[in-house]
Amino acid sequence: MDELGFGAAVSPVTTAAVVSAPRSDHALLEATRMGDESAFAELVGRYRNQITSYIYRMTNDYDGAVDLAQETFVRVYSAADRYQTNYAFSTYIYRIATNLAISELRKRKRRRLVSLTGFFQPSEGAPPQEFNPPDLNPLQDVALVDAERRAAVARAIGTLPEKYRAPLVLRDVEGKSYAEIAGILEASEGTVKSRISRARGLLRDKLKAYL
Amino acid sequence: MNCQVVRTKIEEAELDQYPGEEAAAHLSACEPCSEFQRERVALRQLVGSLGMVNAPADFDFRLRARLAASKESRRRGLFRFLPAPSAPAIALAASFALLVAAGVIFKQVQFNGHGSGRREQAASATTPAPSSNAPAPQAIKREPTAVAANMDETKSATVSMKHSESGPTILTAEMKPRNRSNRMMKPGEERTGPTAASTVAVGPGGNSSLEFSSRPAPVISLVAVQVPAADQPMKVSLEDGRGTTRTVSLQPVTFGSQELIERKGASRVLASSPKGVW
Repeated sequence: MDELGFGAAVSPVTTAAVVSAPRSDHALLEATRMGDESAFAELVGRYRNQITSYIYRMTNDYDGAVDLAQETFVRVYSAADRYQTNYAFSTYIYRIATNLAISELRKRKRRRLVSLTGFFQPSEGAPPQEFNPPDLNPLQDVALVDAERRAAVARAIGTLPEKYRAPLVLRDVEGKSYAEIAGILEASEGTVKSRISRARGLLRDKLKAYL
Repeated sequence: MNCQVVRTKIEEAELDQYPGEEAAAHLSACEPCSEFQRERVALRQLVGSLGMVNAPADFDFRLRARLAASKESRRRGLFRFLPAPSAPAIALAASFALLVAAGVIFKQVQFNGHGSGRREQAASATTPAPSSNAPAPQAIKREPTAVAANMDETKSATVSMKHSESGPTILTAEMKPRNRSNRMMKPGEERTGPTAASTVAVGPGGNSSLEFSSRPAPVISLVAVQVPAADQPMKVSLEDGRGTTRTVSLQPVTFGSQELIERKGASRVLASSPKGVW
């Protein structure tokens, strides 16, 4: 073997050092706890779009969603010392985001003005309907049709009760498994399945024109 | 397999997941369940078409600023039971301001006691008792002047009044100060008594004047002199009995913007000043 090392075989340790595997979320949070700011920046880079999108689907307000997403990361950073690795970090951060989103929705509900037309709705005791059924007449522009359809779906999701909205978004928009959703919402899988089924039933009635 | 079980399988299955042999057989035979499956798949595709929303470009920058603010608030939270750091600074600044103000006032007092460009002497200004031989029945109070300061307590003062219109009228009054504190101070002499507060400034020509800026001027009771109130200025000559005569110009008596005008053949009336300034 060449003493100078030109033809030397690369040791496994050197390979591991050169091709560094991406650190896990737990490792990044542990590094953050030790004061590594770049580790937290990497963690933010992994989840900022997911959390922003999830909160946006929950609240249907982009600026508010960005604000709540940042608050989510602030809470993660502040509570890094208390973080326990019993469950996945994604479950942990989604739980924080869900709690913030639900708190925001409850604040909005307290501030919401009740429409006078709600008094003339035929179903007594039913909540005021904020969802407007779409116009069934075909539009000329396909892009406009697509945008209108997405907007109608977003508005329809926004009319769902909180306990149905969160599991539906996590399942059908974010693509989470039932186990993950149960961990995020701190509920049993059976409860999660039941709520998702109920949410789809409500949504089907609202979006019948698009199905 | 009944419809309830099949629909549960449809709900829980992934979008592209095959429900199984039994469920597929049931779906091919049951039209409502087949319709249910079609609607559910369409609905999930519709909801899934919303897609991902990206965070704004300045997300990290704003987050760093927010984290910095959060750190600052946490740091303050650790010391929330201690007094605010600005309180001692405010107390120190207030003490310093009071010290500076006291120093300025002390300097001002010193400056008034030893004015620059003047030779100053300390002199007393006491209140002499009114003379029992005063010719006027009613005593008036008058601020001391240089003439009064020069009066000798053992000699009488002669007051002569010269009216600009009706000719000179001489009135004589005797003045006896109660003690010797009114005597003229020599240059450089400083009074040490408790009444030494006012000073006599002696100018280059030997003229002296009293300085009462540091404290209220003492009141010296003099003789009562009947002076006709006129609307014209007049001159009053004072003679101290030692040959020293001073002439003082008296302006017409005014009260604010109203002047007391004596009209010939009529009583004194108050007339408004033409300036009308109060």
